[in-house]
Amino acid sequence: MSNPPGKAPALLATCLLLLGAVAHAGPPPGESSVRVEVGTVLASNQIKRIDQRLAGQGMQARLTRLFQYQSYELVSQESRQVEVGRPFRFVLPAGLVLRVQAERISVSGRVELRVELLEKDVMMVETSLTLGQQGRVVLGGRNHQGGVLLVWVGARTGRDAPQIPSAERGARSQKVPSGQALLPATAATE
Amino acid sequence: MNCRETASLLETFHDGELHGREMREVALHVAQCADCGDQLAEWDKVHAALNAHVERQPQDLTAIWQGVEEGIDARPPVDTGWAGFRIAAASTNIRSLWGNSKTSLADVDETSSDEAEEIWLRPPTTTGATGNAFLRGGMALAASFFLAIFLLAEEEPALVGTPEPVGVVAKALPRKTGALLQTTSASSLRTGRSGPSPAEVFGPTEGLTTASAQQVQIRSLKQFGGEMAMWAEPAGNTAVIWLGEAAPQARR
Repeated sequence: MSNPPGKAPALLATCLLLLGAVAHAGPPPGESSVRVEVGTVLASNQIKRIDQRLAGQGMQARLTRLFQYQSYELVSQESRQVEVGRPFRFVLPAGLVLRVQAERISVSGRVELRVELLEKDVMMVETSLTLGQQGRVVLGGRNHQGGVLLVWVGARTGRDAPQIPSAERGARSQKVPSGQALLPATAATE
Repeated sequence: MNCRETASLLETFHDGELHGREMREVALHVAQCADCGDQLAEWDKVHAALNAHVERQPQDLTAIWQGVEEGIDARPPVDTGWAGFRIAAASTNIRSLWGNSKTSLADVDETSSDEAEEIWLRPPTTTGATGNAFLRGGMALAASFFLAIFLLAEEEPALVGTPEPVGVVAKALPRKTGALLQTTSASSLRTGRSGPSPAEVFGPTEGLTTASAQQVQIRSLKQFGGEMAMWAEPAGNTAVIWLGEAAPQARR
């Protein structure tokens, strides 16, 4: 019993499409690191201003949907490739330290993270979470310079991780108009 | 939210009748304001006292029942098959929607109960039985889908918390909105930072269980001292863990 001649190419094409879809859906084979993005925003009501760089990070809409502060200033930002199972330490403004460890990458590309926020070596919060490609967690509530610090954490698998453009890297050392120095978060492997 | 606004909403809050944002704002304020927390505790006492002392007086229902009987007597006699007829009529009407039948509720209204039963059992009188089955199957699937969405959709931004929240404020929150504030004890709600006191918020299988591939799922959380609030935007792509040093200006 043989297949009709027209069915074989169609079957092959279907298989290739399925394979392509599966390959696209999951993380690349052997992927052992994720790109962790950590940003710090100073939210306040002193002036009405939203840092335009937040829009580029997709954070402006998120923050304005969640909070109703008048001003959002990007204070620091860091994006690092972090190996799974290896803790990373981000030094943030106001004496805060964020320890991040990627624990697992799921087949769907979601990243399991362990996040610890410390203030002067005192543990404030410790959480395990799973972040989707668009998922962010915001740790907020720390008073700082007349406002409140909002620390966001995001993680993406290597394939989807956007590279920070050089122009943005250059902008980090610039003073922002409100007088808030844009400090790069200092990341270090522990 | 200030004390005056909170005071005006406190009773409604206590009864669990506030909606999500208001509920959270009042909860947050009460967690951070000892005076309002005391007022809430007073409401607890008042309600407890009322529940304890209200005596249910037996009522004489004789007069009411006599009125009901007179009303029943005054009605015209009812066909014994009425109930079945109405059910059949209603089902026929549904069938007319699903099966494109020409039978309408008005048509059925003039039939006897036997005829109604016949209509109830009669297969749909439309052409293309296979297509009709597909149509009905598709509609059933779509209805199930929308029902599932309706049941699963959360009216308010997703909140996560323990099934049995602890603490004075958390107790007042209705279960349908979940627990907003989590602390180890009621006293830590009032005293603020009192040294390390880990508060396990929920286990690894709880939390945003409906999280999609884009969303955030908090699997475990420990907070050391002070108050904490937690919420997420409706899409669930961003979750907030708020350490209660300053009251959050969460968007209403």
